[in-house]
Amino acid sequence: MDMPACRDQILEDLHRLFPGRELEAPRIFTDTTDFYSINSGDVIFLDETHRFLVGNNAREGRFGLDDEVKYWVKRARNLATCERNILKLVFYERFNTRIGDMEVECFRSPGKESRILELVRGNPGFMQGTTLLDEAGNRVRVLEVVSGRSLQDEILAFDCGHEEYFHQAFPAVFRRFMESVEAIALLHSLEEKHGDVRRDHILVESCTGRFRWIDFDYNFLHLENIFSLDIIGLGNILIFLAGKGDTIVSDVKRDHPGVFDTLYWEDTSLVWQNRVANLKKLYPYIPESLNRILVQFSNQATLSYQHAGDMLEDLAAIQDDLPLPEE
Amino acid sequence: MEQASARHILVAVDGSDNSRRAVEHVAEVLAGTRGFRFTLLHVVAEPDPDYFANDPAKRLEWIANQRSEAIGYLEEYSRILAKAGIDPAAITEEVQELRCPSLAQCILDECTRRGAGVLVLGRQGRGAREELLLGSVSKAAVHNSKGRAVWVVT
Repeated sequence: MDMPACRDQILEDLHRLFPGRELEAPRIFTDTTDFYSINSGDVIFLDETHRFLVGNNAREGRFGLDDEVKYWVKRARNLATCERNILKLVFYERFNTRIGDMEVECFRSPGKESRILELVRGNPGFMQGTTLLDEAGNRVRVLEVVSGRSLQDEILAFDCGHEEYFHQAFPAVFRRFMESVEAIALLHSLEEKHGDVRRDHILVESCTGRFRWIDFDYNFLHLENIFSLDIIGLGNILIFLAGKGDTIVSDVKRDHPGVFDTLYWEDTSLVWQNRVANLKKLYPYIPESLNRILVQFSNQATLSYQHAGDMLEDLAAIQDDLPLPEE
Repeated sequence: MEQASARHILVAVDGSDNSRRAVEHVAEVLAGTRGFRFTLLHVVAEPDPDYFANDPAKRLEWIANQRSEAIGYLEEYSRILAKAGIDPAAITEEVQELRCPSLAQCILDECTRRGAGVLVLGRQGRGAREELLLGSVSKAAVHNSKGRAVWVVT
């Protein structure tokens, strides 16, 4: 479609979408390289069935910064189908991330995310989407919107004490988490990493309750263990889920001084030394079998998982030890 | 693939102090002996394909730099062995560019391919916590080695 015809088509789309409104002709981008200059109200034209009205930039809380604007991630509406999508535009960055007191070099890779989107097509454990090239050859990832909130928000929203949470809600949360570990194990078996395994990179789909991984465009330069950061991330999430949030040492000192007196450095997280990993000390009803996995991510660990599939085997073995929710 | 020989010693090296110590250790232990073959090997682990995805020329430049640095210290390590009385004709220097999800496995595969019955490597010198979280080449080499001796020099 040539540009004038495309412009007419887009105006027609907009009139259909916003009937009765007086509309100015939008700016149309066929090259998304300069994503900073693409704003709300602009249109990204990729092909005849993929023309998108751009909405707001996505935001993400990260590294203690709330609502960091991600200019390369645009909320958008497909003018051909009226479907809401998220468009991820090409953005390369490299930075060092800290794992406790260790530094690992990370980098963003649009190509990796495109590859994984193809590999996990139809797998409900992952966000879904497709990759289209813009006029300049940039990989634009057109993603389905997952309706729901992050796993972190979901867990923190439980309005009850730990014991009630653990007996009533945790068994179901745990089974969903196992599906997420299975999804990562699938990636590992395909020699791919998620790259940024965090509790806010799992969305809990509101209509099904299913956990779905998002944002797999990160990669990291691994040392000997190729999947190490993914495994560390899974361990951190499991500790978070079992603890109904982060169990901070200073909070234990304030709220449970008797337990605090029994805590040692070995009971804290291997990665985050201010968080308790050996949660059974605080919550004695946590089954020993689950706690054994939690302490694999504590400072008393001597062995580490090499592959999410190894962790999945251990998780599967403890399902029968979890409480049955009361009627 | 060659038959593994306990008289073929493969020293896996990089430019670190611990690698130099590993070479010095071999020189000290086997000084003046005869009948041994030595392979000084540096594996250039190909960078992740995504790392230089937007700049393939940089990727080639990175590999070339790694290779040329390696040639420099392999020559130096060769001299250390020769100075200890090891016959220079028994020493082979090699730089191998490989895709290595596990560097330890790459090195072990090279031992197998070359028939080296002894692998020598220096510890990377990471802390226990870091090794547990991110892995250790020397530990993985010891753990996964079959039918050969592994010397880890610290």
